[in-house]
Amino acid sequence: MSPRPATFLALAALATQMAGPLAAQHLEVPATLGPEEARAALERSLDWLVENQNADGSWAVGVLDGLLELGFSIESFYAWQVASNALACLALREAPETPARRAALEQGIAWLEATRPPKRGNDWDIDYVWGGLYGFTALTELAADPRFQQGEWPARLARAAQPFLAILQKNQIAEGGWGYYDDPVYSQRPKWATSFSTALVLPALKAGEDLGWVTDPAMRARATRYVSRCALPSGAFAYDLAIIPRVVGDSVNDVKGSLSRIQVCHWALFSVGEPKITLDRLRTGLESFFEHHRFLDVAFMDPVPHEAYYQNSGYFYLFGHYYAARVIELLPEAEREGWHARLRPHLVKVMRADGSSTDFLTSGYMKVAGTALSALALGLGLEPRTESVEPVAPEAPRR
Amino acid sequence: MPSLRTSLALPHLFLAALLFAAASACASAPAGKPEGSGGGEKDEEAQEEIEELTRKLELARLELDLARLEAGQELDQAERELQSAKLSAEQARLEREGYVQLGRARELDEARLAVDQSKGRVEDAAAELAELEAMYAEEEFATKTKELVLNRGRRQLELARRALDLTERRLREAEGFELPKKDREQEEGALKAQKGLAEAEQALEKQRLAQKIAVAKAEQEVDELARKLAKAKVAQEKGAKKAEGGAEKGS
Repeated sequence: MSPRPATFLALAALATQMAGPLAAQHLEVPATLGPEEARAALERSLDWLVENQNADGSWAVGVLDGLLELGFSIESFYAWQVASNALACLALREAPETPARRAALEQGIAWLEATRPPKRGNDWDIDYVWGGLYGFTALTELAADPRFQQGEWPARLARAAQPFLAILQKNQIAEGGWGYYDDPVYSQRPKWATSFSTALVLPALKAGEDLGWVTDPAMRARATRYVSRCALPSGAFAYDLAIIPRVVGDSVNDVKGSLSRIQVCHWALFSVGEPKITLDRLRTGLESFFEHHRFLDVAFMDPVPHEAYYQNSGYFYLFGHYYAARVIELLPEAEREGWHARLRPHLVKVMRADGSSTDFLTSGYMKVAGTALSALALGLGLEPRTESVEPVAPEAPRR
Repeated sequence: MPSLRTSLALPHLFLAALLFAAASACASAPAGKPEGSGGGEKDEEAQEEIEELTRKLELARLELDLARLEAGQELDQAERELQSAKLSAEQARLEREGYVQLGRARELDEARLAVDQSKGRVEDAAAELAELEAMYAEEEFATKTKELVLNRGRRQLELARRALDLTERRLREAEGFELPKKDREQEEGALKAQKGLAEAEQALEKQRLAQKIAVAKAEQEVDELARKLAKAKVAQEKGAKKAEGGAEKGS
């Protein structure tokens, strides 16, 4: 069953009132964009992240800050703030370092350490899993950064990762995946998962095992199997695992509805050594992404989830572009720039004048997550940072 | 409507009447009459009169029983109708009191709530539209989406405003016409039920009196026939004795 009606509680009224697909977007962009233009855009997005950080090191707010998301559990807004803060930290980690960015990053990490772990919102709404997925992912990637392998950092990061890992342990469904809603009869361990939310954390689980944070390798094995089983003969990845996936008609499980999921699933499965995902499969997935990109364009900034053709949602856009960039990074180095050059225009064209990006709503956490995903995607195709600065004294964790 | 008691009694009564008629037919046959006796024509006539009066008396007694049963049955019916009228009157009173004390105010409050809810929906639609407009004001790319989504937002606001207008008109209609009309209908219903109750009480009294008269008439008929029969028997005995005296003198 995908996408599910429960997904749209907050927008139910709009969804019923706003039937019908949306027309394509029209904005002239070059077919390719070089590293210099991308770097300029990246700088703007990183500046936005630094300038919009709260005094306590966080970004955005943990409460509902718009009318268009009414209906979710109160806790979910906090969980999304945590997840978007984790993405912001990832973006700053990948950024060419400046004192301001380094300070912002360390403040952001300190906030992630100090803030309370998100909790389950209610019976059906378990969006707090997003906090677990991206919180854990961010901390494993930070732990791989040489700057945070010194002094007290490893211990701090390991400690900070535990609550996020606990969320994952508690919410992995029997089939191995992670989702963000539960179905009746509601249970402490939920029963629904998606391919993309499961895939995004797979490499982090592997990293967590290497770091000694994850002691049960079966957790990743189950998750890997879940994502693998979502693969469809068409090359698409099903939204969620079903015995008989729905693929007929204008289905989200069509390749045109799966453009972003293909990228995250390919990246994840390739990264954990799944042999079926070959370099050719990666290339085919990327080609599909660009060939059918108009379906992502159409859904961009549509406030009603899954309303557009092939049930695409606005929030597939930046998510998909980030993971496409990560897929590109798995290809032989000689190929990468060509792919990045094709990807960049689609990131730059949706970036706002102030450097922020969002693809769905303008809620604070959406802007932070969108800007971070955009910065991450742009940064992946550029030369690694060359400038190094002394770390600022880290704040003591508040927890 | 016959009561269970009278329903069971009536077939028995009918059967008894049939048996009596058969017995009377047998009794009227000339079998018991002595052939060539000395009573003569007069004796025979007296005997026939006694027999006829006996039959009539028996029938009158049966009719008295029937009158008593019918009286019971019809009084039962009238009493039931009275009970039903009492219930109807009580129901009408409760409806009226419930409406006056609670219902009228509730219906009015519901209409007012509908207006307030509609006002809220207008405010929500306006706020959502404002949020969408602000959101798309920052977008350079989603031009088509912006146009479609904002059009829908404006339409929702317009529909919400029209819905508010309708609920406000419904409130005015309820206050000015529907509730006063309902008030009068409730009052009329209560009065009708009261009238029905009074009529049922009067019907019962009338039935009591009519049945009393019917039974009394039947009793009177029985008494009259019994008296005539007794008189006929006395006359027959006197005639018989007189005939016996004449025979002794002649022998």
